Amino acid sequence: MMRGVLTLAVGAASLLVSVAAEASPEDLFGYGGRTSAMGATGVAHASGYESAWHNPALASTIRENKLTLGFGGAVFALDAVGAALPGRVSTQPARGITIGADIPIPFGGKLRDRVGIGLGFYTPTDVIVRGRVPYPETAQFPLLADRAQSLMIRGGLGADIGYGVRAGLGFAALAEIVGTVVAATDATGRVGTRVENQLVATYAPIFGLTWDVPGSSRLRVGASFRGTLDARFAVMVDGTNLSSIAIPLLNISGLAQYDPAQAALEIARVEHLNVLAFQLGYKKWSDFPGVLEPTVACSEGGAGACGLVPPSIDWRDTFVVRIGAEQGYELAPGVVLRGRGGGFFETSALPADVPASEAFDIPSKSVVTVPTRYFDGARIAVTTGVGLSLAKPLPPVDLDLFAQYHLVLSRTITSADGAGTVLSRGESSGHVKVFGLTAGVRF
Amino acid sequence: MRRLALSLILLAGACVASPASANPPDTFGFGSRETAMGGAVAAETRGFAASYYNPAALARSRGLEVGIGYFRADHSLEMNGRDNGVDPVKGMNAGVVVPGTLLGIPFAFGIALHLPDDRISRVRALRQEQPRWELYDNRNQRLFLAANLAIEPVPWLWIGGGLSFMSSTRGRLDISGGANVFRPDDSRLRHEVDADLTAVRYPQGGVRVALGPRVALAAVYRGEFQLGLDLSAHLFGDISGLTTALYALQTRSINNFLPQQVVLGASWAVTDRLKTTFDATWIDWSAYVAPVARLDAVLDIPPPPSGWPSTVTPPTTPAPTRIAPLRMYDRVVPRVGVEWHALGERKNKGFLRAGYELAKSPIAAQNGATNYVDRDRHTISLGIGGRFEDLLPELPGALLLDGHVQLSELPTEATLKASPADLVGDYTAGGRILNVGITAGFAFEKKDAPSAPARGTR
Amino acid sequence: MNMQEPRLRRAALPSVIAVLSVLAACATTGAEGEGDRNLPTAGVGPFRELEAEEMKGLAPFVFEDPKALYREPAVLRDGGSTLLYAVARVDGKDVIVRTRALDDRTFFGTSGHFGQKPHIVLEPDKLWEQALSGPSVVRFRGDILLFYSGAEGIGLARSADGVSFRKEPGPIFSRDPVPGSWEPAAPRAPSVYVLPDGRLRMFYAAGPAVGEAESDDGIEWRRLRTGPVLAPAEPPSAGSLLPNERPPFDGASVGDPCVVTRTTPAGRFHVRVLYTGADATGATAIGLAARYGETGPLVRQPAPVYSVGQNEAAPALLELGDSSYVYVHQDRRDGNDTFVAIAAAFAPANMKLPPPGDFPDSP
Repeated sequence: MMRGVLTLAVGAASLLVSVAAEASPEDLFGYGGRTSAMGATGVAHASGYESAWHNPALASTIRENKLTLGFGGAVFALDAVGAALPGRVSTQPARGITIGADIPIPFGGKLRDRVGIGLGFYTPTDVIVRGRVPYPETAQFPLLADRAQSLMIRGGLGADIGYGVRAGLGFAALAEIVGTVVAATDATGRVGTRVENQLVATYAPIFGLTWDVPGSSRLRVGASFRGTLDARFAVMVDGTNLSSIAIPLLNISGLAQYDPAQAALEIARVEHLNVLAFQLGYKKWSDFPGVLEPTVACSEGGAGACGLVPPSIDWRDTFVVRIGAEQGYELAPGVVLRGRGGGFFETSALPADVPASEAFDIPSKSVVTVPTRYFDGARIAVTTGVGLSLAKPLPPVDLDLFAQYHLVLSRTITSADGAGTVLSRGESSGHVKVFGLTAGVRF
Repeated sequence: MRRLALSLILLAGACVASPASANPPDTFGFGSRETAMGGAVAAETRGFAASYYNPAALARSRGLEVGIGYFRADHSLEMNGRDNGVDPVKGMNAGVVVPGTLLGIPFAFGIALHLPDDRISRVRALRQEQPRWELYDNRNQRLFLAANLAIEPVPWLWIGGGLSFMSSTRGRLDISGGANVFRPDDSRLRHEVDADLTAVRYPQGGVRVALGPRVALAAVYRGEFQLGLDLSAHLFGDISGLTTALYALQTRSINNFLPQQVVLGASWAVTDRLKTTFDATWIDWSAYVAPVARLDAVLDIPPPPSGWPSTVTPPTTPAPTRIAPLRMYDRVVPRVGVEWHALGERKNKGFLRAGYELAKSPIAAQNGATNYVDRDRHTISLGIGGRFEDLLPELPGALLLDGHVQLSELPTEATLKASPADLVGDYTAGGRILNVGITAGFAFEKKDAPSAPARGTR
Repeated sequence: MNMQEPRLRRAALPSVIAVLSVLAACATTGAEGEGDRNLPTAGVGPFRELEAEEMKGLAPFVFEDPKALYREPAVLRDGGSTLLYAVARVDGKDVIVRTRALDDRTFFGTSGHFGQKPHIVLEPDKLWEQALSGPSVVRFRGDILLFYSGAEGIGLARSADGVSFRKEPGPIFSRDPVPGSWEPAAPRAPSVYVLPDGRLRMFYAAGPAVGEAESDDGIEWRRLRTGPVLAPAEPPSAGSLLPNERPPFDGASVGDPCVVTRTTPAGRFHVRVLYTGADATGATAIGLAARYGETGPLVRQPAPVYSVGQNEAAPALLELGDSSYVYVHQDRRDGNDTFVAIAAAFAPANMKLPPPGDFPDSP
């Protein structure tokens, strides 16, 4: 019997290793060497491949082919301080490669210079995705650290409709796992596991609009909406027919990646050498189901109808306010140097009071409550960067460098059981340093 | 003469390098034109399909080219005359070529993608004794994604290369709690996961040399690639109050091993309307790693104080698998293709295409305990295509429509087992594969300068 | 521009739309995989026990009675039904009974078939017999031959209908009279099959090993070799076992042969023998040994084809084309009591059987 259950565990493990990770680095830090230095604004002024994230409508401003390669990283220093808390929460730094492509579509006639495509691709250097779903009593920042470890493919198509209006649509793609492990007798008749582990694609749409305010040659309003992007791993481990021993159906599932549905509205003054942008954003974190799922799939009612059930946390919608600016200086014919700066403030989706979780205590053979040690805080970020654009008679190269400093504001988070007894109280805080360098070639 | 010598040097250099991997495009082609020509297109390919067949040919494009297609390959593979239900391979092929000029040199960037309908990839763990069509059952059920660059430094030479992407996995699983074997719904179990999908990038590169207006030679390299799966699992729990169980295991395996390849190709425009092509592909199958997991396990389940109930069989630690080596032989796969400009002149043209490929099975006879089933494969391809230029003022360029039908025959042969006590026994195996698909593409004319700069910041 | 060109253009654009519209789910469905249908098998397992929903009564027991102690099954296909001959304890004597099933697993006269008993076909009424055991049935020249063991060797009974049998007066195969023979006791547990040319072959147990003999008529038998055709497994050499790998399951004795022949898909004559293997602790399992061709030693399969740790023994194989059953006797627990009964197992192990049928009207 146990061999059967353990065989199931092996099979489940072999599936779970292919799990995708949590939410995207773009959602945390922004995307692209230019806009990341400008407080991650860009819904009204992003250009090139960066429009694939910020606003695909702006892909219609692409006029030249361009290929961009970038490298960036983030270092996390996140703290959870309190009784039975580790202090510094161990978090691996994130490093990734950015590849971007600007592609103007060379339609003719009335469509000439109206349509463009931006393609963006981000991959962490050492892992494509990381999936970590630790036990809830392990101190963790579920909305921050591992969200930076994911591969993302984005594309956007934008069209200049006329009358100052641009529209665009795009997509983001992630991989998620579906699979089954059936522990039974295989075709050779021996007890074993048949493991079917499949990566399937999950997509989320993005829509964008911009409007050049009439009467002003400089003001532009941009709006974008991104659908929920989530990647689960969902593996059903079935050993119910393995032997005369009744083994529960195991639901090895969880949410490895999550970007909430979000909308952003931005107004920018856009000139040749000068940009100033202000953005308001809203993220629907209240739809976040949490990372944990029940392990036992009940015979009636499915997962969650019996056994240990993960805590139900009241995730809160968040707001983000961003500001960004860019000033360029033409140093010589074909040489433009741009200085950039900005910042943003984003509230936290995690409530200050987190319900406790259930666990089974083997020595006492009873269900006990354990604290849910989730931590997070509102973030204030300051961003800066420089860019160098070269054109004829020099090689057509764009170099951008950016850095960000995020401060996770200190707050107290408690975890209490149903009777109100506080099981854990901790102070969360920390900071994140982000940097990046991109180089693009126009051709 | 000097051009030929330089060409040969470059081609020889091209032959030295990288290992390659088998992809779904290896078996079923990429792009209907190329598939219809038997895949013998290393010297003749262009457009988005060049990202697979010869990255150097990306630089033959003069304007933006996009292509998208769909194919379905149905397997009728049988053992002992009965169909084994091998999954079809179906999905989208797509790509884009973005050409330009860099420092006066023609340059192009290309992305190619094969995206199966049902999944990005699939891992299957089967016992090594279980019969399976090793080269068709699961290896083609995966994504192909490549990005390449190409340049044309002189008018008769194209050089290109890039990377294809895939992933290996490593991870840890922990399940803990109490399992109630009398009422499973009352089990109290939780799980914890820590897993990484690690990036694997494998290279490909190519060279194309035009010896004149009618003859071209090419060489292509494709890199070796392995999908590794390393995992550890830990389960500790209480078993209905009878006893506790600790099970820890470590396993390592290679799935979807793809050997390296070197392709030499040639194309010859016999007349203005008739083109023939030839490819020979060397595949390093002898480096193949058997997809069987190595397992180390620890199992500790103390017997209950009152002994095991009569209905429970005491568990035992599983013995490790004695992995039987899988012997495979390097192969050279010849391909021939022909394209005939059958109809039309100037703006609208029609083409007929045909091709043939012979792929001898690289797998040694399965006389032992393993059953990695494979047979020689003869493939005949046919196709039609059309090129329509200047359809609309808004579409300056050519619309390309192509279709293909490809039939592969795997002649039935018998496998004789050396051991009469083998549980699978002698069997016959063979079958056929039918691959049908269409591709549409658009090749824009070379782009003029924009009529007006966009209102942006650059 | 010729007249064809506008039509070509009009056709081209919808074709593009058609191409775009066939873009399917784009790697989102995660459809179930296959590729393991109709896989080849040698028809001799490994076997899995029948499950509760596949049979009447307590799985996996298909023929049981705590008083009759049915054991040592032999099976024969008869049209659409399966005949099963077994040893039973009746009135203090070991007899051979016959029963029948229409679905290969619901046998007439089992304990759940109230008020019904199987038909006794043979009783020990000869001095040399004492008790009957080890039945083996085969069709030969229009008759059904029933070979069985007695105290002094192997006997033969014939029948035209499989119900009424006429015995030969004495054993047709006794202990080897040759001095120094490998056979330490009288032969028992025969299993007989017919060669393509009409000769009969018999595997039999003698002591801890299995021998082979041949006959033209079923009466006169001659041994084919001076040693056993299958002997207990050699002990493993020191250091040859991997961690957690167990020594051979049949290192102490092999017996109860059950032979079924076939022609492989590659055209080879294949002799397959299921047998009971025992190790030094007395634990038993069902093993497989086989050969290609009419003569030669049997090659064993290192792993058992049926092993449940319930003293399983005396296999009888029923082949049904793509699937097969093995019938064995094994321990059947009833509260604190244990008695022997006949169980069934099935291969291929990943195939499910439909629900059981009805009991037949007669044995």
